[in-house]
Amino acid sequence: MATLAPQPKSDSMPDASRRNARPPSSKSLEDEKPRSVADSLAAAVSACQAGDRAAQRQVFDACHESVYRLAVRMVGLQDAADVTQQAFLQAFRSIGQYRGESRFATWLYRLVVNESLQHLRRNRRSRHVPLEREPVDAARHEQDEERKELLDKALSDIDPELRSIFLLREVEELSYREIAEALQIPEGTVGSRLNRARRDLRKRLSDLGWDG
Amino acid sequence: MNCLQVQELLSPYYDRESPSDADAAVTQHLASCERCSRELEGFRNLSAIAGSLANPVPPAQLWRAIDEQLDAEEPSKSLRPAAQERTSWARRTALGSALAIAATVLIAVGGWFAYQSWFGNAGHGGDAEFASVFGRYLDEFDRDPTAAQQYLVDKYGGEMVDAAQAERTVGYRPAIAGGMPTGYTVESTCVMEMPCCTCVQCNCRRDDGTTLAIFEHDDEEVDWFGDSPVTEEICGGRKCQLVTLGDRLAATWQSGEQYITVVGAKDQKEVGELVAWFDERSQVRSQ
Repeated sequence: MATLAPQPKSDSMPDASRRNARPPSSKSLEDEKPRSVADSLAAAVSACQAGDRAAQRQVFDACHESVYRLAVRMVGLQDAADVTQQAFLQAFRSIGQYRGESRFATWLYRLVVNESLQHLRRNRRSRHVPLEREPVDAARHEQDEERKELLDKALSDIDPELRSIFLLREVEELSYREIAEALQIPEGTVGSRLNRARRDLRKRLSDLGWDG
Repeated sequence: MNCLQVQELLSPYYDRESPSDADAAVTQHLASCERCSRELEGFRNLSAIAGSLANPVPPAQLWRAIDEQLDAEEPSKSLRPAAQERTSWARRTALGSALAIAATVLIAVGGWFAYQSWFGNAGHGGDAEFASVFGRYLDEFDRDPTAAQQYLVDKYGGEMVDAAQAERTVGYRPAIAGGMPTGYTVESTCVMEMPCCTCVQCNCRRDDGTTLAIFEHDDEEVDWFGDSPVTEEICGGRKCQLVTLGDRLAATWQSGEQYITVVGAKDQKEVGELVAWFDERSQVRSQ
């Protein structure tokens, strides 16, 4: 049987819990996880393309936390599960279209963003959804908690497309090239869009009383 | 550099995505500009807070819901007798490598309830046979689009026509009569009596040698995809119903008073371009 697509690039989802110093643009997100994990995901994707249903669970297990995290920040806690579900269903239905020209994670993020934006358009709540925050297990400093709440609120108030580009950069740590692929925009426009996203967020935070 | 120039470059500079020759100039400006430096500091503060946001925990039942939906969709594929071969078709790489493309244009006019059957689901009456026919068509389309078209022509008493003949047969000027976008060549056109409707179909050859099949119809009650997994996307500004066929797409949308279905689209981008093209032609025809 002919190979459906070229062997995809190493596809590990970035581990957003690591907050290192700002990485260089050439940082390879594949390096975040052991090579064997990334290779396992690539193998699972190929198996999915060949119709292996069991491999779908492997792909889900490898990616669902990142997908859900992005969905929560895009559409809010109440609707994030639905968006996540739809994104994965779309991914499995159209996985034959994944040609390995980009990381699988980038391709998957595109689906998540599209589902999120469609969800917001359908519900016409793009500017009013409060991004409820999950309760945290560990105790945190009160001031940090307040800042996170303000950021969540500010995120919910800015344009959804700017929200997505901010999240893909700051939370999912995608490179400009990967952001361009995920959002299907020219790479040369990523910087200016991030400028807008960051400035809008700072303006909104200022309105909410944040002095950062 | 002035502040305006630096402001434009601030995010790429901050993210280390800017050209190296610009970095030095930005750094120099920041050394003496409080306003731009303050803005850069604001970016850092945003990053610090964003980086410490908690990771929400996905619901435990998330996979089960997805799995159940996939199971619900799976039986629909098995209705097609050619399902196994469809898998083979669906798993093939891009069509352009070795296909002899004799583009024949069959313009499908009328309600495309058959499309539902194409994707393996019993739609309206006689769909088991219809599903079988179109399953075979799609399998053949992968190997030889010309032969696939001939199969339908033979099956449904079709005939090869030109645009003028097609117009006389179906009573309106088909969309493809206005030509195709750059990069496509109309190979041939057929009209045939499908079980559901009179259809005009076109096989169009792309410059890379691959084939796109276009069907045009005017039945407003299109239930094109039946029970097959269908997604609705906005392509070219119009709502389109999309079905994945391996590494290709099928898509249906309304264009003017007609409906157009394409088989063998490469991706949504191509669908959007075709939607825009036919929309423009629809406006021209209505003038």
